[in-house]
Amino acid sequence: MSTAQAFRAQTRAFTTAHARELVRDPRSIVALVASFLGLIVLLWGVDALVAGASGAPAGVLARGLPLVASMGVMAIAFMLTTVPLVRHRSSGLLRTLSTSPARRGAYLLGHLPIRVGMVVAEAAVIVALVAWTTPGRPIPELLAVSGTVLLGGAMLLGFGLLLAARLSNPDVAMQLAYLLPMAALVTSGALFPLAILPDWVAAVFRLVPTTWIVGALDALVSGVPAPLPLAATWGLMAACALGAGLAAVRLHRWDAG
Amino acid sequence: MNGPTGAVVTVERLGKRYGDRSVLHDVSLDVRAGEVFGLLGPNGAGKTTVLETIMGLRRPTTGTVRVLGHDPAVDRRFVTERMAVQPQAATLFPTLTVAETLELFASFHRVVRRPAELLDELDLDDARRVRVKHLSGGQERRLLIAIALIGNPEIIVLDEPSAGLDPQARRNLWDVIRRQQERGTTVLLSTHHMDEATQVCDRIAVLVDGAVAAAGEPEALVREHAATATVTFEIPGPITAETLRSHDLPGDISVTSKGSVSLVAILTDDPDAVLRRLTFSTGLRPSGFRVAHGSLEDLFIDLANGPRHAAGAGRARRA
Repeated sequence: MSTAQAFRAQTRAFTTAHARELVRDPRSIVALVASFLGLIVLLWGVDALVAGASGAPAGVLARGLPLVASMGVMAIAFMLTTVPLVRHRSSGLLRTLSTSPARRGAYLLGHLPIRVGMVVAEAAVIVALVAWTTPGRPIPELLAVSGTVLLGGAMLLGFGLLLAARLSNPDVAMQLAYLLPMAALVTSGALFPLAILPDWVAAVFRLVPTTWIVGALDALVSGVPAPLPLAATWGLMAACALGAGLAAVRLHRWDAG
Repeated sequence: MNGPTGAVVTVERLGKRYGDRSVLHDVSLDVRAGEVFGLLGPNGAGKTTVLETIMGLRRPTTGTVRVLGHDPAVDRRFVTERMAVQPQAATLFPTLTVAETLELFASFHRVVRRPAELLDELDLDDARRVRVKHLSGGQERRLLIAIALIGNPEIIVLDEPSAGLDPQARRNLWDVIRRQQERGTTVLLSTHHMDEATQVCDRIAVLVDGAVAAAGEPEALVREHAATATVTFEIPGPITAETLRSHDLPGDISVTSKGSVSLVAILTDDPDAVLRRLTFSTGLRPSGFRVAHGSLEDLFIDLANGPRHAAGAGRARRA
């Protein structure tokens, strides 16, 4: 068996192991349901209440889809990626693996397929909701929404891996997994438009990567002016995904000691 | 690549410090190809530190460690492909089953043993579908040993492999170690159990306070360091040590009275002479003879509790 074949075999085995671990851990299911499906149900419920009271659709769910998408992929990136990886380090699993011929790259690559699959599923749900809440959308717009969620997900997964590269305290990782979405909520324009903020504050917030996802989706879904051309946003997100991913593999530490 | 004396693991004047605390001083030992080498010592003696340095998990403060001629802390891939490790405390994927865990670790190696054969050998067949988080301590220990054996390694390092195992499981483990040796694998293990060291180890080193206090073949060490034996017997009625000494019995005599008999213990380096003289002494009527020879356990206790590095063992002694 060549080195490349051995690496592929390890990656396949890790892919299966990580997938089994994720689907068998009820905490990951709760995190996903609360951060993504729960938010959709909440916004749809508000829509239904307003529509019942006023007789006209409020469009809360449609306007909230950028928020739902960013919260959903952040849950996968931080709650379901950073936290378990850091837990592996703190529990000593990575130390055990370091005494075997397991390759660091295979371990990290194997972590991704199930998470990428979840991002794809979330993108499909978002596209379906966009098509349902604003009927008659042209296919290219729906594809652009899908592409934005997927690239945003790739970027955030890269950040999740990078964050996990050195952390050894799972409590800190868990706190970050709660705090980062809250910070993103405030800075991305998903909760309130950045235009109401002082110019310099808005300019700083536009540098935050989650703002790129929300800004691009807002423009595609609600037609508000985009802070950046879509191609530029995609380019930035792809570059960040690649850079963070490579840095994560380079910096990832096996041992907690 | 083996060393000049056929050694596959060479530790040369190894020292390790954590801040101001020195935990190993001038430890030197060779583990030869195909042997079972035991590292013995009381808690805190530095056994795990020596093993972890050999595994490449820790770097020496002073001295050198070589595994098949390579530095285990530097040439990680070379060493991990040839040397398998069962750490004292290790964590696995908690939600994977025993069989899934073994399959995962098998994927790391180019040549592997059949997982079903290993599960059977380590008596884990019934637990193959049990998730790791639900295993008992003994089952988890056996799974770690199975993981270490799955890649058919040249060298296997077992850090207290029998901790948490019941007596039958320990004996099964000894069989596993012997079979592995028959396959040509070199085994380096640490243990607290003297019977384990006596049963499975070709050579041992006793580590006390971070230094090698004694090293060699178990029987030779016992002969060299624990040559005394204890002869015990009963004599009807009261008797004193002075009376017994008048019979010219060689050794230290102690007498305790129990009901209508006196229990006598003679610590001697010539038990045969004691028995001969007792047999031909008139008026004593001794019975219930027992002769207990010095054991590895006596040696271990002497070295651990007695004057530092008793019986001529030196700090930088090579095992």
